[in-house]
Amino acid sequence: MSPDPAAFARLVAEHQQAVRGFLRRLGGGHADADDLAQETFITAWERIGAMRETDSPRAWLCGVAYRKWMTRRRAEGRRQRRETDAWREAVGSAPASPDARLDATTLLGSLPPEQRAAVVLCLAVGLSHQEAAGALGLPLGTVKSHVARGRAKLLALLEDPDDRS
Amino acid sequence: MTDPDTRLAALWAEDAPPERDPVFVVAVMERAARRRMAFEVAGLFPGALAATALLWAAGPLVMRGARVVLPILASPALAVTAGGLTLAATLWLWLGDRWEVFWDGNEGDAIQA
Repeated sequence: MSPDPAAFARLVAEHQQAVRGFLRRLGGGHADADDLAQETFITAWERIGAMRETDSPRAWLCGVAYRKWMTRRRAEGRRQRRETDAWREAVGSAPASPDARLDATTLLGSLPPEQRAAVVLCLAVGLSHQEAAGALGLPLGTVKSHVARGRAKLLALLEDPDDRS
Repeated sequence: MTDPDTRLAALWAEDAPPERDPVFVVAVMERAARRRMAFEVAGLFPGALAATALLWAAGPLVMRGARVVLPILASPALAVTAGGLTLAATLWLWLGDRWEVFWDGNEGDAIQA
């Protein structure tokens, strides 16, 4: 069953900032993040019934976005490994990485993906720990722990940017 | 800016997407419409396939019927009759319109004219 276009447009307008912001913070560039956000909303269009059954559409959308991001990240990882191997064969050393900048994406990039997602959902998007746990498919305690540790690490990095590892 | 929460808030505000973005909404709706059209076209495919198969199977029957009907349609008498009827219908419609205006306008004036 397709949703009413006007109602769906309102839903997109209401949640686009949260979903796009979440994906941008996870990393991968703004264009890729926006493309994934569009795919997320298309999934919502196709599975509008499932979304309506949830208490928090925003958490549901972020969960879909997270799974899409993980899938793309794995594919991107495979592609980069292939390219690096090809580069090594041709040149004999790995390509130099671009200069890292001290911005939100760089700082968040120092956190493991699951922890990064939990931190962004709870601290930037504003979901509760319970909602984030549902979106990420993780136990509540794990999410709380991820958020506490991630927050502490981010603050430490903001104090001393050279501490990145 | 020493408060940790303020520092984190500043971090999140960096490069944040706009609160309202009609361009993004339109892009999503366009993508959704394309997806729906693709589904609809895909949904028509089995019907089109079945119709093609039906016509292919009924082909000999249609050809046999055409062999009987076409000579009748191609006869000169029928062509003259059809032409006459068409002419009569055209004249009737054309003159009918004129007469309608003639009578609906003002009957008295029309008679005087």
